Amino acid sequence: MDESPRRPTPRPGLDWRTLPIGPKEAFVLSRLDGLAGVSQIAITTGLGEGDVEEILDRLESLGAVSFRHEGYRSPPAIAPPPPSPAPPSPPRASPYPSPSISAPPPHSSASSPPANPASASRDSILDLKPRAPAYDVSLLDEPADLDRATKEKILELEALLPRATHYELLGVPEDAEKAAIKRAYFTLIQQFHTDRFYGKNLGIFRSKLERISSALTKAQDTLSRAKTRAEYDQYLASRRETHGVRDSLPPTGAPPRSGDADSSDNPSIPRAPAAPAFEPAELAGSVPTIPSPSHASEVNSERISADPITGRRLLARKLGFRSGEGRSENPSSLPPSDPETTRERVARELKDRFDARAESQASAAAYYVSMANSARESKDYPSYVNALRIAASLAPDDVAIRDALTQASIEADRELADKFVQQAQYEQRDGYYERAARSYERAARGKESAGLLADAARYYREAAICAAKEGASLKKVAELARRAVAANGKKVEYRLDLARAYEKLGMRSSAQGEVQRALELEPDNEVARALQKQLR
Amino acid sequence: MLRSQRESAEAEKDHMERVIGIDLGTTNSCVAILEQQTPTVVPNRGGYKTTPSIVAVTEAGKRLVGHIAKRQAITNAENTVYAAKRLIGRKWDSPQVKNALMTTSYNIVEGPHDDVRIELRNKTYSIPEISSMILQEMKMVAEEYLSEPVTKAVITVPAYFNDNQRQATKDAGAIAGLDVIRIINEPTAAALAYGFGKNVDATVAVFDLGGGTFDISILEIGGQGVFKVIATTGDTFLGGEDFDARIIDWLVDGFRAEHGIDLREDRMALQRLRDAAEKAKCELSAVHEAEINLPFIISAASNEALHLQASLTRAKLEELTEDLIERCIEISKQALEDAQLGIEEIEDVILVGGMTRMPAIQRAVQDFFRRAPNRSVHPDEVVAMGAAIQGAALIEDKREMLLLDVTPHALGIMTFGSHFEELIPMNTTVPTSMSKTFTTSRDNQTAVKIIVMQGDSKNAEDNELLGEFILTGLRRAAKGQVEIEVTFEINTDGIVSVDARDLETGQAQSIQVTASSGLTPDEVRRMASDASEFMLERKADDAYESAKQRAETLIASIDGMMAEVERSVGGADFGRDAVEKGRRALDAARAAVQSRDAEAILEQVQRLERTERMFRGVVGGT
Repeated sequence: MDESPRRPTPRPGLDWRTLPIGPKEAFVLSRLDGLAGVSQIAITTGLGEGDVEEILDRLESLGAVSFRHEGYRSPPAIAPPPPSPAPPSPPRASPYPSPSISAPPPHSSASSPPANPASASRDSILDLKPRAPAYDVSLLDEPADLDRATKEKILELEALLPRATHYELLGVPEDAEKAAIKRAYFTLIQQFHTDRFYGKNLGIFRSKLERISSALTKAQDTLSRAKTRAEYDQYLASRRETHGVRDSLPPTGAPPRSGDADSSDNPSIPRAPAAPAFEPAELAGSVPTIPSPSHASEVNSERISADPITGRRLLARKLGFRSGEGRSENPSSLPPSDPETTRERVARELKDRFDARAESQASAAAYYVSMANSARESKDYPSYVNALRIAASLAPDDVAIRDALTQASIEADRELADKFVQQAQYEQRDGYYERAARSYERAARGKESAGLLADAARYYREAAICAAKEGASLKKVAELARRAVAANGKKVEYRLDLARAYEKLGMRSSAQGEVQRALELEPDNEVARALQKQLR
Repeated sequence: MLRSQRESAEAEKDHMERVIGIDLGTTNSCVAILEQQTPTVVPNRGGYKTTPSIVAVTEAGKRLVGHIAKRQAITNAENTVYAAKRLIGRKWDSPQVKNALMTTSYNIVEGPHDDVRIELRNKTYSIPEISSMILQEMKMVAEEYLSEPVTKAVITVPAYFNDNQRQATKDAGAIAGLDVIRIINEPTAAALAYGFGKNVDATVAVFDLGGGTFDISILEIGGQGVFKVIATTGDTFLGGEDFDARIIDWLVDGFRAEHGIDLREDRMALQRLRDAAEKAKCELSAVHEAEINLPFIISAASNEALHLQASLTRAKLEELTEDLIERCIEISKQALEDAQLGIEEIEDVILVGGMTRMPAIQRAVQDFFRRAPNRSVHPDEVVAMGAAIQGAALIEDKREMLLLDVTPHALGIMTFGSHFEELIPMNTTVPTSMSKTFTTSRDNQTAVKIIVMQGDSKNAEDNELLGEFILTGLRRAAKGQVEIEVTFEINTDGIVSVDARDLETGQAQSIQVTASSGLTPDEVRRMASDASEFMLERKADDAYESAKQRAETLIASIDGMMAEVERSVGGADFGRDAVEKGRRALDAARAAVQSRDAEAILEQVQRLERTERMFRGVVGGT
């Protein structure tokens, strides 16, 4: 058993870039999954337990992580190998949304400290510079009768709006009393209401302030009434439960590829064609990095597992025989004196630990597979998938585990499809189209794998509509429309939707083809005819 | 030197930005300012802190406002307008106007934009114009108190007013030469005054029963000066006037039973009844029985004069108005439900409006809320004070106070089948925005009319039309195929904008909804210039009146001494000369008074003063 009761969880919806943290903290943050305890994190990060504790304390004080509360259904932790001290892994700025956003843990913590970006973390920003603001810095130069600090505050908070939960927006824990919520709301609204700036020229900031005010008020209104708060909590719980497995399927349109069970299904952040992280080619010119066995960072582990042998060989070579790179990228982990020797020593230690851990990891993987099976029996699909995912990342070469993971993901999606529909409807009703598009897409995929193609098509179409509303790329919209047609080719409307999407993308002949097929289905369809004429 | 110049410039700037708060009530109005962080109600010339919202035009064409208009109401009933607020922003064919047509003593006529006008001595006035006369009076009261011009105001309206009524009130302000920086709700203003300067952290109810309207608002106060309305509801046709009407009915019925004559037929009698009813009602808040005595109220067919004499007890009044009080409580229940709060969560109840002095109402409130209502605020003055507080809070730099109000009615559009589709529900905190997707109702429909409405009925016809526009260029498709997203947005100033877009083609159209007060902007401008001319005239009149008064006093004094002066010094040449000069001064002064030219009179006043001094010397010397 893990002797530490702390099972940290990254705060969902957290934007790392707003945190005043360094690479070490970010690395630890990237390893958190809500399941691993301190000693497991020590294994996966290669840091000492003391360091991990210290970093977690700091992250907790920033509100970046919380610790799960009682009653959480988590598999008992396995006994970890004794941790050995090691230098931290270097930082890596991921182009992906942070795992904490894409894979929040099931159930939230009750002990999350106020993590109000507008107050709590801002104070600490004064001491430590954030890595990069989450907004377009050029907007700071937009004319308005506001000082720079106020502009920054407005832009920061606005950038947070689409992702933050109501609780996060108000900076209160999820079990906060009504009075505390009201207090937090009053404090924030007093800072961000346009009446505070009455008679001043606010330029582009006026509408931003109004958006912030509305969002704050919406959060307060939802949370201050027992009924709406219960509904919202249920929605959040459902979202977390389902989102525990949300990134387990391949991206839309692509069949599940073995070894690449990761999906970036965020429509507004298209998957990068060549993810820089942990591609072997990149690695050669980069810093030594331990392949992470944590599932929380899908990008890392999945990429490694895409070509585990090459990756590992490369890594081993780097670790064992070369050690020249990376100094400048991670100065904090290396003492300034005599860097050469230190680096070599560190590299050797890393290699040793890497080898030693491989063995203990295999047994750990087996343990997680059994965990997965029992989770499946109790119909705890998120845990089922999560456990398998940990297993797969612990034993990246085990094809059986990988296949099981793919299978589990499909199964979970199918089981959770109806939940996704409910979430999507809640999100759509509240105007969170980006989230709604994703939830519909998940629902559609679930229905698809369950063989319910008519439903799947319907939800793909909803996803396309929501994506269009959100202003997602045309490509994404077209892709979703295409999925709808693929799931149900008999619906003329779906084909016409797709035709129009193609047309907008400039794919005239594809559009004509779709219209043609629509007319084959319904030769008298006036809309189709009109569109056909228009396309000529 | 430089510094003092800058200081005086700053001081001037402060002066320029002074904002007055006006409670434009159905029966009484009140003006307040924030003086050294203390809200202060400004008394009018007569020393009263409230001014009757009554406007009249005399036979000589003179305009009267306030107490003086009220006093002459009986003899000039047809040209005396009271309770104009009940008509503001209303459409000609609305039931409220129909009702007013039957009960008012002045002439209501149809205006050019389906609005309501009032005819006074062959001239028609819009309702905002009538209201502007009251606002002008309040503005003047404040200017005299402050000895400086006032241009900015916060005006209060019943929380349950719709956007058209609010806009009409704004127009009234513009006509009166006021920049209305914000319209706020009366109960909210009362809460501001209640919580101002105290560190209140509580959920409170404001029970506001005024002359014409009833409002109930539930607010959360806390966080160093944030006032957030959670729910507000009310009835714009439930107020003191309805209580009066019950007494009038009772009196009229009694009189008919006795004499077989309907007093309603006679406008003059009706006006006297109205006054008597109001007086009796007020008396009954303090005593248990009130005498109503109206001699010679009407002539019988036989030309015999008839008198009305009755005695009304408090118990009888309570019986007559029981259902009105019940309605207030019903509406209060609704407000609590809308706020999703239990009675026990209300920590204080603030009573606002003169009607809340009625013991039966205080009892009903206490029974319903299960606590004694708060008596720390003055029910007639608290609203104006709140308006002044809000004005100062917006203008001043400290800005510690923030008011978050809600939209009292749902906003939405009319859809197929005259159905009202709500986009922004009532009790939504502003600023806010909401979207909904609609589809076409006919095949190959290429345009769609977006009809913006406000109201709480599912049936569009029952709601208030705010504006409309047409979205064209829709792609041709079967009905239900084209998706149009409609977005409503209300900004902090309460301005509604509506945007409609075809999700496929991206074709979009949007408008800023300007609620219709019944007046076009041109009309408002013209009326404002008329009003300012009138004010100039009135100022000239005032100057003439005071010069004339001064001159006449001096003339009388000189006249009185003339005989004695003649007797004592008339024998001497210098004496004859003095008397002659005195006579000439008197003649010139009388001529100047005749000319109605204030400046000419003032010139003569100086001459009169010299003469008077001289005469006094002569008289005193003997």
